[in-house]
Parts: sequence; structure tokens; C-alpha cells
Amino acid sequence: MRQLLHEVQEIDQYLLRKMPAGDKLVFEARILTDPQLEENANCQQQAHQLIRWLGRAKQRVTLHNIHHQLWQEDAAFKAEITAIFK
Amino acid sequence: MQEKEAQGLTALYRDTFPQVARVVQQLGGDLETAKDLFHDALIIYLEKQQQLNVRTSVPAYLIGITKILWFRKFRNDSRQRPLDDVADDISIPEDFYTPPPEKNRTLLQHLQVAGKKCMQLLQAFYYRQLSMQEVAETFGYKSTHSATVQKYKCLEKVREQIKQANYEAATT
Repeated sequence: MRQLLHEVQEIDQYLLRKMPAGDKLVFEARILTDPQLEENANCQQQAHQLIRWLGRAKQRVTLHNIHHQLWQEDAAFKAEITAIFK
Repeated sequence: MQEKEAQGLTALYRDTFPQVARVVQQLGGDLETAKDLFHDALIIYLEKQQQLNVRTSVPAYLIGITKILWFRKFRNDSRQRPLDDVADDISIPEDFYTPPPEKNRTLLQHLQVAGKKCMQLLQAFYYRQLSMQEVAETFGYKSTHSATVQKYKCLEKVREQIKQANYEAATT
């Protein structure tokens, strides 16, 4: 892997708490002295968060579709739910 | 999502939603609220499924989360939380209710459309928590090594776009 991807991998190990304790201390010290590394780590953390947001948005669409499908095709389901909220 | 997984989810939905709806109705909620809370509860359950050691049944767990979400949404008072035994197993992911910052909304839309395959791969690993072996098989890579290289390339691409969005937000 080229140098840049090594750095991505290293930051990932740190963010996902998969870095051995000794390496973690060294890495944290490097972040303090290397603004470029600090910025990359921050942006990578934001990337993880965006991936989670998108994952959840996608799940919501899936669940909405399941609800819609059951509502359309399963008369007993629709009747049961309608009775609860009548 | 694999077909078997999708069928399992539909069956879980079919079995559990009426029970959750009844609870929400008793608390004073309408159908839309029941749906929204149940979807959030299911999302939290699916995210934590692998790490969970659920002592009660899945429906009881989902009802428990829904109640907690209800109290959080409408009472905003932790003392009002239901003291079921499931409550111990439940924690809401810390960023669950934090909306993406404004500057990232455009980026989110952009990422959803562009780089679709990259996002699917990243979600498989970082969101659905598949192993790299499973990721490699799902996306047709010859080895976990090449899937791993691709994963970091994609992550780096997203990271660069975030960096760009941060610069733009800082200069406007």
C-alpha cells in the first residue's frame, strides 16, 4: 500500500480503538506535533460519522418500504394496526 | 441487503410492529409516531445486534427501546424512563440524534449519488460491520487484501471531500 493509504489505515486503527496501547501513545504524540495528521484524523472521524448517517438514512428507506409493502399486501396487518389507532 | 436478511427483517417487522403500536397508542401517540419510533428502535437494534447479549426476547427489547425513545422525545426527563429489565441493555448511539452539520448536508447528497460503489463498500464495513472477508465476497474482490486497499482508497476519497467542504465553510 502506498504511503497515503498507510496513514489512512493507521488513523482508522486509532479511531476504531484497534491500536495497541504503546502505539496509541506514540500516535497521540504525533498528532500533537503534526497539524496535517491532526486534520486528517479529524476529517476521517467525520467521514465515519457521515457513513453512519448515510447507513441510517438507507435503513429508514428500507423500513418505510417494508411498512408500505405490508400495508398494501397484508390485509390482516393493516386491519390490526387500524384497529389499534381507531 | 441479502434477500434472506430482508425476509427476516420483514417477518420481524410484521410480528413486532403491532405490539409496539399498541404500547405507543397507550402512551398517547398516533400511527406516524409509532412508525417513526419503531423504525429508530429497529435501526438501533440492527446496529447493536452483533454486540448485544439480549436477555429478553427481541420484541421485548424493541418495545423497551421504543419506550425510551418516546420518553426522550416527549418528556425529555430521564427520571421518567421505564424501569424494565431491558433498559440495562439499551443505550442509544451517541450521535443518533445529532443531525449532520449544515456544511455536510450537501456533501451527503453528493456522496449518495457520486461514488455509489465506494459508499456501499464503506457502509458494508463501517456501518453493517461485515468482516473484510465478507466485504470481499459481496463486492467480488479476489482477496481481502484488495478489498482492504479499495476500502482505504474510498475512505481517503470521502476524507478529501470533507476537507474540501471544511475549507469552503471556513472561507464563506
